[in-house]
Amino acid sequence: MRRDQCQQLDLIAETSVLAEIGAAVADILQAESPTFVYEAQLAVHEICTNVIQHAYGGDAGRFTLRLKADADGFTVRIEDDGIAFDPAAVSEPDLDVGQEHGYGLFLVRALTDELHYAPGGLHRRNVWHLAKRWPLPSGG
Amino acid sequence: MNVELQHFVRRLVVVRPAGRVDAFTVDELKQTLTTALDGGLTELVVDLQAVDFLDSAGMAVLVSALKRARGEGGDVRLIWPVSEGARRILRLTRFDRVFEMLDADWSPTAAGLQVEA
Repeated sequence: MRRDQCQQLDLIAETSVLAEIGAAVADILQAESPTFVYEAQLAVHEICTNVIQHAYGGDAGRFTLRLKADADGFTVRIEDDGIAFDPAAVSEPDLDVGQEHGYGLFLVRALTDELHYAPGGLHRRNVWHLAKRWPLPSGG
Repeated sequence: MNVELQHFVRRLVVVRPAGRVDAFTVDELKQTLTTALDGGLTELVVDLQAVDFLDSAGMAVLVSALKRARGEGGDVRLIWPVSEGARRILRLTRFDRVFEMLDADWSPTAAGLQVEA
């Protein structure tokens, strides 16, 4: 039986925190199937990696990760104060030819049911919102 | 009559990363593959069975190695990961079409290769 859960992490924007993020997602989704957990972990991971690698231009920075599980599903909010990102500038990868860039956002779109990005501005943080609905019960 | 014999050896290297292959850990795999290719070893098998998490950074390293190996007349083949989540991601990104995928029961000796210690 699922129960409402919420967890917030305030993280330094370094790739060393990625394992901690994966563990936090697994912890909040421990009642779910391994595949659902993996997909959720990867979606959150890819967005966080994007923030870590691009939001602060290599300078020190921090970001906030809010994980929530409730009756509707799993939602994630990722906020940072860094450089705004333009998702539209990332082209879809050509999956028939191996590529070295572009899989990250493609995977996030494929593995989530909702994905929104709001660039920040004066007194406003950049915000990613992801949502993944619970899988339907199997067996009818 | 003179008979000349020439032996040719084609080397295959199996690379076995374990654990997480992600933006934090990927440099070691990248360095290993680069070192092999720099050394003229262009037939590589990357065994993903012990990889429990693979992200786009890890995938990029595999593609980079693939392109270089094929450009030099070789190839990079992948052994499927055990994790069903990771397997799904490889299918989703069509890695199973871009790479030749090998099953868990693949072995160099079964493929007719002699293992060099």
